Amino acid sequence: MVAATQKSARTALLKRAEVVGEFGEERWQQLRRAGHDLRLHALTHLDSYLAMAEEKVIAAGGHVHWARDAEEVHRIVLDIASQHSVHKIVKVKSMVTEEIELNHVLEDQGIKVYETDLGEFIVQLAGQRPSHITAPALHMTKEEIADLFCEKLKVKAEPDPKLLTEIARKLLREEFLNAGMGISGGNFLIAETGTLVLVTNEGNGRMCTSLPPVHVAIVGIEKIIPDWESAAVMLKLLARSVSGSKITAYNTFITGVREGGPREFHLVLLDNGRTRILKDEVARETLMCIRCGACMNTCPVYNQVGGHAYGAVYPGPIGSILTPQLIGTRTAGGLAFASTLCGACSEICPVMIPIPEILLHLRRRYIEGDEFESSSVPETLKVIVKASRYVMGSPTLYRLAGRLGKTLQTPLRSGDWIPTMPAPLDRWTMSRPFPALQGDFRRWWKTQTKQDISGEKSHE
Amino acid sequence: MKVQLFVTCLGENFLPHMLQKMVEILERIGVSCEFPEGQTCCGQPYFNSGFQKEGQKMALLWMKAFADAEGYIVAPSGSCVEFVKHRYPAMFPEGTAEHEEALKVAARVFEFSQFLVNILKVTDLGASFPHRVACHSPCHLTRGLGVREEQKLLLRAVRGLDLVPLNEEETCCGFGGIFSVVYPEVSMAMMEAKVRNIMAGAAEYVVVSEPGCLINIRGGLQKMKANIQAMHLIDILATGGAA
Amino acid sequence: MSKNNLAREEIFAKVRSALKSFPGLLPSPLPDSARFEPRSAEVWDKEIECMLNEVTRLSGHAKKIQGRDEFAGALEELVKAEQVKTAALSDHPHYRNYGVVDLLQRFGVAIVPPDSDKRRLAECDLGITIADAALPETGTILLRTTQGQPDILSLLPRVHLVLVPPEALVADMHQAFAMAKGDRHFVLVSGSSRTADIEKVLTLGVHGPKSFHLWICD
Repeated sequence: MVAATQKSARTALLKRAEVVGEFGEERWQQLRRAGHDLRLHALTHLDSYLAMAEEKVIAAGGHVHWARDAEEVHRIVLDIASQHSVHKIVKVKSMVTEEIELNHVLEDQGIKVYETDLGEFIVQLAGQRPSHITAPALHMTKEEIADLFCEKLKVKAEPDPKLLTEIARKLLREEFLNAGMGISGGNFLIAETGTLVLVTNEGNGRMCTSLPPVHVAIVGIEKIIPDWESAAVMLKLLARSVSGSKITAYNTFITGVREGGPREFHLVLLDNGRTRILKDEVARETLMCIRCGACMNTCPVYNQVGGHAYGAVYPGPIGSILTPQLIGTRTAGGLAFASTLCGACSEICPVMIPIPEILLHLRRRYIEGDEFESSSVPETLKVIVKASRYVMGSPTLYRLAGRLGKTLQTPLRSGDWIPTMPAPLDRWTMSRPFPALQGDFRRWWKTQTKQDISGEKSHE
Repeated sequence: MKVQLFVTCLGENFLPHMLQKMVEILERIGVSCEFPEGQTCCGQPYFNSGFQKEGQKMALLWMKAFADAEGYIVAPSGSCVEFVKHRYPAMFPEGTAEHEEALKVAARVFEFSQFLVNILKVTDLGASFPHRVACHSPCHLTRGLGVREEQKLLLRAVRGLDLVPLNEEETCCGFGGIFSVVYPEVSMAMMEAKVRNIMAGAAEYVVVSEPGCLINIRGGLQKMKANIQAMHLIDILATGGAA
Repeated sequence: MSKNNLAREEIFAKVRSALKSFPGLLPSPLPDSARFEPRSAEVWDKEIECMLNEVTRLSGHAKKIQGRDEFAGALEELVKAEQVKTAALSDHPHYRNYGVVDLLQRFGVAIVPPDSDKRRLAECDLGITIADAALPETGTILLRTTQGQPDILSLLPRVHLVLVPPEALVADMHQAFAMAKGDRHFVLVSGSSRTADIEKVLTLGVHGPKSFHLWICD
């Protein structure tokens, strides 16, 4: 899985570099700045834009529902489904529906839910979680997928991507035409006209939102953007950042209900912890994410461990800051430490989210606690660290510790190295030897300055 | 010109010879050095691990150690310089005396290659090192401080030095301070990937101008039995001259 | 419904508290830095060339057609190559210029009305639409959804042919949006339906049309 992740990430990054080069590096930075500023503006005026969007959607014949948490979305969707006697639902890939685990709830009520993005369809069949936010089946080989189709779909499937895709196409086409409801997320919601924007490549986004008689769109409140000009900026940033195409195959713009389309349009606006993140002035930029996946493509940690290692809906750098804020640092705080703070993510992020900055902020929350959560570590640890700081902060004690270290290392030392150390320091030596403490700069400096005073060296 | 030496805790304890060479290079080009003895550590390990109150206390002590002079402060580490430059002012609320102090000291502090090339406008130190050399790009030096080309400019002026490309040179080596002990397996995997890239490049030496990264990569090269030596830029620049 | 209102009030209250704002506050205008200069058009011929290149890059088949004879030839070729037996085309006067209906009948293609049932359109071999706008920078066409040119016409049939009147070319997405933003529904189509979800191998025609043809018709 890791090898597949790395290969895919490398390809996406190379292609992205090409299209960014074509766009012009300076222009691209201006575009990123525009993306950042408009997203931040939308967030800092969220109440106005939410009200605007709601008004416009209703005026266009749509229904607007508000959900504080996952359970409320479940209830809303189940209500609509039962009102229309829905047995079959076709669904467009949506991270927010993963977040609230919607599929399970629907299936428990006897409603069949079909994920229709090829990757999501595959992952759903396999009973797994997606491992990347824009390439869900990244971790599976074509052989594994062929076996999966044989087993679950009872069809003879050869390990050829084209043939496998054809199988999925035929099967899902039937479902698109028969389903009682289509569920989508939304890449953006344009406040100016209450327009839902769907960015897709396969065509299933259009199928799910045009064919069934009822369309339900579930959108996090942070997805709002002010106007159509902003939409143009976002679309210019998005496809290039996802995979290095200039634009995706289909960009669909849906405002309420239309002739010849679904009879009903339901927009469900979800909080689920977003308002709490909004309150945090340092971390609120987390909500600017447009779900492009570029951060994880470039992250050296993600590339070593793959998406499943993060154990959460949102993996990679964005997951490391979003998850602890959605479910609390007490549970997920470890993710905030799963980074070397190398900064590759914030450098590539199309909307300039300062991910390392927010990671540091969350580390503080985990260790010291803040107005959002109390500390998640025992007092003893803090006392030990404070004591060590006391030593580190005093030149005398600091030097003493250095000298002590030089003595203590003697039995462990092998030339310039200390190959193994006792726990907990073995957490370093399990990976590589530790350097032996050698030399004494301050002593050298004293002899040096004595030489100077005695006039043996001349200065300019 | 006079500068104050910021030796860094890792530098002092694990790379004291490199520090000596730094002083020798500076003096050779007419820069006299001062060493404020009150310095120990800038506080980054504490702050970045989430112990921000402790990090702040270290910062106050560090600023006090360097308060006596007004000239440049030079360190052989991009991450420590970045920490003082960007993090110190952010640590203290605007309008406070500490914030003013932090702004002053942030304006004074420079990483070694940054100082040579951008302040002293020096690229040729008369060094000579006829070997194939790869150059790692430390994360905080490049992405943090925006110091990208300076190292290479200095290396290209070294006589006989053959600068060879390094695949994924800007990819993190996996040290990340506390990360290396909180997630040791991942840290090791990243380090191994970095070492494999170095080995694949047919270099005899690799320049790693960041004490933490240098210790990490050196250890990695040793463990993976690569016949390649890791050095700080300073180690190379100190050759061939009067030092 | 009242639970919905309760949720709505609570969410708004939380947002306002987080932002320290209050009801009725209008958003300040977007800062200048949040804007991005739209692309300007190049020379005409270059724009056409760009459009054709980009569509080809996106695995579509792009052609420039001049005159009725060339059109007839191209259409015959398409019908043969894609084995078209049934076609649906939108209600648009533009088709009369090329005598599309007559040509299709001549090539033995049965014509299906555009407002047909979705199943019928799904079984249709060819869907023909007229582009409302075309964006050369990205090889994109704008299709506004109307009764005469429904959305599914360009989605369900196996092959999608879009005819682009040369005056439809605009410089930037902004112009396309200015045209269509008041609509209840429209689509920007850029090349073929595609995926790389299986081992990053590019596969065309996943759910949407299996092949995409774009003709700039003079």
